[in-house]
Amino acid sequence: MAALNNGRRRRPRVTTHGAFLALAIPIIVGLVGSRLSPYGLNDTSVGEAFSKPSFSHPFGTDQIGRDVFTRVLAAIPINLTVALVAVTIPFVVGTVIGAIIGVTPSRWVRSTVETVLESVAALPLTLFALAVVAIVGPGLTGLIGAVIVTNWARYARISSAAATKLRTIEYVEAARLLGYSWPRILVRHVVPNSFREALAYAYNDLVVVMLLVASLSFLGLGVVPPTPELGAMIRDGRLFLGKAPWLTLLPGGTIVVLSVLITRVSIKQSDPNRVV
Amino acid sequence: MDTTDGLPADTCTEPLPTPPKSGSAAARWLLGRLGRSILVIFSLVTVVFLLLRLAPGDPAIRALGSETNPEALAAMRERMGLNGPLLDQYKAFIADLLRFDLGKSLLSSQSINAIVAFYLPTTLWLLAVTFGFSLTVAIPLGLLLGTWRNRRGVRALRYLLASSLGVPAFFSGLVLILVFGLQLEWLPVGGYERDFPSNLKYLVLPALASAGVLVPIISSVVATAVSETIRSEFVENALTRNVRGNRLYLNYYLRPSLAPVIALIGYMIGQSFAAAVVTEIVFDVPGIGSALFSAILSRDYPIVQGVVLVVGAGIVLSNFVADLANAALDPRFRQWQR
Repeated sequence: MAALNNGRRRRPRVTTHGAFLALAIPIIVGLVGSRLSPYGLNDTSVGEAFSKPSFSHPFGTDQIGRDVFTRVLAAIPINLTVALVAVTIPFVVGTVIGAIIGVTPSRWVRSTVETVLESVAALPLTLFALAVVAIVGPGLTGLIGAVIVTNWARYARISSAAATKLRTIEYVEAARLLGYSWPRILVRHVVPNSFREALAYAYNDLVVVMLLVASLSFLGLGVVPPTPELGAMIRDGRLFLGKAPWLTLLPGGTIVVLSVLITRVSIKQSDPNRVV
Repeated sequence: MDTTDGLPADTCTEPLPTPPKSGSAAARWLLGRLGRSILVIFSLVTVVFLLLRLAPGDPAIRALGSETNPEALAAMRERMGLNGPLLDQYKAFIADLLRFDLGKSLLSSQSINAIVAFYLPTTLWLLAVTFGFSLTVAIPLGLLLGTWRNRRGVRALRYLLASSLGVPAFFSGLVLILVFGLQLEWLPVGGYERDFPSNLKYLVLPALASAGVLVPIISSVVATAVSETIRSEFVENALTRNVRGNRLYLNYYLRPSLAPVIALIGYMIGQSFAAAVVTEIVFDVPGIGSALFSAILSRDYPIVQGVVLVVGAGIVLSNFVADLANAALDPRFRQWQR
């Protein structure tokens, strides 16, 4: 990964094909694969319970004879979509709010809002998610809500820092002098030029949020069975760890593969020179 | 989990500022930091307070379950401090917290201060073993990564470390249980003893599981710092004076690179506090995370509130100490000089 590209400094670039590789392909493979599978998601056959991985059941079967491979395939789009939703909403909300704050002329307003943003962003995500789920009850609503409530402020901080630099830049001044309305300046000029750093953070966040959702489902506080979800599958499989380790290892390995894929994309997004 | 939050990674590349002009700027910076920490704790308190009261449904009914009579419900509302206007409830809530009174459990009527005091030492032990292990592995590893950046083996190691960030701690925990507990039978698969030397064997596997996230982060910070140090003039100078071997690696490469690590430990302790909830449950370690989890399942809201506040305060405190350490050790972090 060279730092210099024909003498020009490499900017963080939106690698759409990378995002496609890490997100769209697994989702499509999961959706199509689980439909094509000869086994239904909840087809039980007690006679075949705990069969080891074999040609007819590549990932084995679970305690009530469900085909684990089919369930893992069906779980991939669920895990990724939940993480995508829980990252996209705070990303969009936070970036727009941050852009507005960044170009606000009043220094007093800016510093007040920035203090608020800082204290919201400092809420520890895992702990906050546990507290919300404790009160609202297990399920995705509380979990995604908790992620949105804390994370929008992180995006807002990043994009307001980028937008502040734009405030005095010529094309924004020019747009203002031309008498364009401020929503137009914001949408056409400020947001498109200040969201890249936030996007790089969002890729990183995708892994964090995906692991958070899987962890809470593993604790029984996120996605509730019988919905196929990787964390919840590990929660079930854990009871048979000694007898049927594939019930834990294969869904867990799937999580690892997914997050490594996303991590690769996110590293390309951010600093190409960083050491790890 | 959210282990990469709040790291001041971008501040590492700032140019060296001029020497301090006066002590009062430093004092103002310190007060500002302190005020901000208090603000964060305050907002956590407020959010937890509002969450219980504004979430749809009556919290007293949720705490009691479905089979209730009006008297029990009224008594429960009284015990949970749900009577009267919201503002008065809030004042009473804050007043109790200022007296360091976290309230009483709904189920056992035990004081939450006692519950926290009982479970917290176990979690602190877990954190101590986790960090002891992570640092002994990560610092030499970071030195290796930073010194020989471009060797093929080192690159492969780098790749491996970056990938290990994507392994959730509950999964690596289960793999460790499977290998070392069930297959090799070297270590217990879970449980705990509260006495000092015998508790360690229960903490080894949980510490290893948490280290899977900590080692890559710490070693990458060490590696970045070392690779910057290597390019500095005093190292070149030492090389021309023919300084070699351990003295070169330890005194010239490693020692000037450790300041960011000390600060990082502060941030990481905060994150590990929250991550410990999951690890403790996987390994059945009766720490504060297990206490939180069983309180969540039994809808014992005062315990949830108390533990969230204690852990949140721990996180804020360790971040604050990290900022202080940063400022004391590394002049590049002294923001009052900018």
